[in-house]
Amino acid sequence: MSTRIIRRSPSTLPVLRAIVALLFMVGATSYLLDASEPPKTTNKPTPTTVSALLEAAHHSVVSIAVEREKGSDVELPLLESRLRDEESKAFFSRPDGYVTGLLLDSDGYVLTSNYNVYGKLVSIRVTLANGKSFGAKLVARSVRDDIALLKIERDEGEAALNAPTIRWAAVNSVRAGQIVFALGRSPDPSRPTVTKGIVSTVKRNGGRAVQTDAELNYGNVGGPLINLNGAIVALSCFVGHNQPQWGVNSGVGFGTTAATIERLLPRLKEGNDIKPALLGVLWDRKERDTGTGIERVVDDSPAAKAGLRAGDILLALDGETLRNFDHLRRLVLNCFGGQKVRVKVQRGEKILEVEATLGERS
Amino acid sequence: MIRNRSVMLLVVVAVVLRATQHGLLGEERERSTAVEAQTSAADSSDVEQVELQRLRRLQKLLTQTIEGAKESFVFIPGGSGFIVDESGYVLTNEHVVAGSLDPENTTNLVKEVTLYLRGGTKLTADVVGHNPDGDLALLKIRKPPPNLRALPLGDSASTKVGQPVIALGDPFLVGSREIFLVDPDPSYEPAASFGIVSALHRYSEAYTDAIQVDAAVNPGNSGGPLLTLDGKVIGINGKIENPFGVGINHGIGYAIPSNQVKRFLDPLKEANGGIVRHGTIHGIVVSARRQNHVRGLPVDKVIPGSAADRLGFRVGDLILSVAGRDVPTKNRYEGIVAAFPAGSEVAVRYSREEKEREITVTLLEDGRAYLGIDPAPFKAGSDGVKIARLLEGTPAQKAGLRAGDVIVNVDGFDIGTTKDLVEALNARRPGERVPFTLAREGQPVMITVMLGRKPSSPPKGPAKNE
Repeated sequence: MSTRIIRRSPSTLPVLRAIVALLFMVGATSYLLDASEPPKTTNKPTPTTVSALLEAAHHSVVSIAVEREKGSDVELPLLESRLRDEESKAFFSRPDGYVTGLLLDSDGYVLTSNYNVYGKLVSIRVTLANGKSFGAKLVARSVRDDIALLKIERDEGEAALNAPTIRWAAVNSVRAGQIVFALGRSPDPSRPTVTKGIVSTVKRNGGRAVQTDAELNYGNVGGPLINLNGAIVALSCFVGHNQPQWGVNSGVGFGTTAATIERLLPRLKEGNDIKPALLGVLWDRKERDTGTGIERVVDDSPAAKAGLRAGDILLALDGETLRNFDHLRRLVLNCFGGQKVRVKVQRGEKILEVEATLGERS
Repeated sequence: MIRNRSVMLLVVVAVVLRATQHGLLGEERERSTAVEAQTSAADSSDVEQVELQRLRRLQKLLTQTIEGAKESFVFIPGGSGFIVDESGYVLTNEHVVAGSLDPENTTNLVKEVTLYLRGGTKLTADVVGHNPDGDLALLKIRKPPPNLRALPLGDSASTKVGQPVIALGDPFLVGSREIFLVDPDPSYEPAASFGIVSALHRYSEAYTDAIQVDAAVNPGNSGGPLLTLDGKVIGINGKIENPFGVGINHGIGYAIPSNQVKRFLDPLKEANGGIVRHGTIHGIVVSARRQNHVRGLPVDKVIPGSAADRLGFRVGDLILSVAGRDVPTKNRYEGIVAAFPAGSEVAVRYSREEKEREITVTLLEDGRAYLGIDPAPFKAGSDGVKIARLLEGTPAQKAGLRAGDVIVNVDGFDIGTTKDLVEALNARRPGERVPFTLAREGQPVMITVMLGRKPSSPPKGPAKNE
């Protein structure tokens, strides 16, 4: 064990690995609640104790067993070809066992981290808080927000799900320093887990995710982060996209915000995977105080169709003044394909405004 | 060995909570009153209600303190820092600043760094002082914006084990560089983590008097503040234990205490880009054995001619305290002494023959004294050490020693052989002024030499004026 001085930022891969690492080690159970009671669906008064708060919230937390084609969650082709023995391959696959999700409503929609359902799926089985278990199908996902929507499949005439009502935290109410509980239902579907922490910051992933120091490990990722009022602040996620290997929790975890989920949910329910939007301009790599210059417009791209040209300087998107190209990219990525945006452009001495219909990235 | 298991972090400072008006003590008191009032009811849900109320109050403090402290936070490539003075002084870890060095060329000091305020305002800062042995660096923003807000340095001596603390930083640099695959625009928003003070006066390499915390601190947090719930800096986060070699937090982080930082602040401001060294009571060797049944730390050896010798320390003295702090072990003794810059005056209390005494000691610079000569080969029967050659820019050359001079006496000690000279120098510390007697062309010459610090790479070539 050598002494290390971390002098500078690790390169990107170790950073991602460290983030993946944030979340490992099963067994961070600090509270075990008895969830054998069936969920009560009536409007109950606001819980006045921590355990009542958690117990109420736990009725919406489900356990998910995912069966996938072996090795299909490993997307490191170079690495994979080098990994001959099964042990090494297992290291680069997702751990086995139950993962966590959130039951949204009595229609049977369940939200979880895309990480949990990555790969070629064979079957998904969802176990509710009351112990009933159902088959489920993947409806749609958003890779960049690391969330996936599942739907429970039920036979005609089967009893209603009776999902408890979910409360989302108000969009602007989330602040760094707020106390949150990460709820999970793993490794045992019958017993929930809770870990406690604070919101570390609300500005991650372009404002679509919060960071938390609550212990997130393989198993409780995909479950909700709830606040002291029992409202859902975020769905824990971002454990490393296509990097399935798992590390130790470091106290840096993430959750896709309630606001983002509410925005994406209608599209996800329609079965549309959410893909990053595309404008189709290339940066001229010149630093400016404000705005961003265009070196080239991709043929047939939304930008080309809107009449943008090489040499244009983009000043604002939908009224928001552009600081630089990264800022433009972030704003575009926060849009959906098909969405119309207004672009303020400086062309020579003229200032004009054009409308572009954004496309989708593959 | 604990030493070999720790990792320096680019970490944040946490603030210590003073148990005052809105401190935790007040809350605890309130809580215990409430608990007592409910005892007869013997209903645990009432206790839990109080717990929920307590969490709500804690949450209010956390959000307010974090909101305020973020404004003083600074992103430094590879780590964190914070504004300590509105005129533009920024504190961070030396290992954060040194991060921009070419790893092959660590003998040079970094002179300037780029930093970013919350929100991404880019600024340039000069490194005005380095304290590599204590892992501190002081920066000065070149063109400070008018609205800078500083974080106050708290009193780390009032820190208590169990006290809640907030670490503010940029763990894994997720706030200052792109780590999400599809989002290119870093937020320059620091992250807070919450925990308690786990232990005080920890000794771990350069962190000789550290505050141990369980708040999550990770690579990237280095140089950031450890804050009390009322928003005062009680430490600078910079290091974690790393027992499994994974290099990430698992609940043991170390912060440099704010009182140590305060002691180094003025020397750092005056360092003019140079190094501020730690102090030492030179010439004293204390017992490394655990002392059972003995009050005080025995002095095992006193180097003849050393500062300790001149101060009157003797073998067998029992050192009781340094700067008012008990020193039951060698680590505690060395840790406390090393928490002061060279030149500091500290009170040393010791007992000899059952009598307690206290003296004030001016700490000398640690490290080995350096003269900078090449001695001529030893000749039987010769008296003194002949200088074969002088090296450029060394203390010997600056003082006016010449090749061919024979060193015959150093501060009253006769020098017969090179070994005598080495011993005489070993009794001294960098920065000390020492009288030399030389034989120059048969005539005795007295010259006072200000001893230097041995450079990490030897100077090349002989002095030109020789």
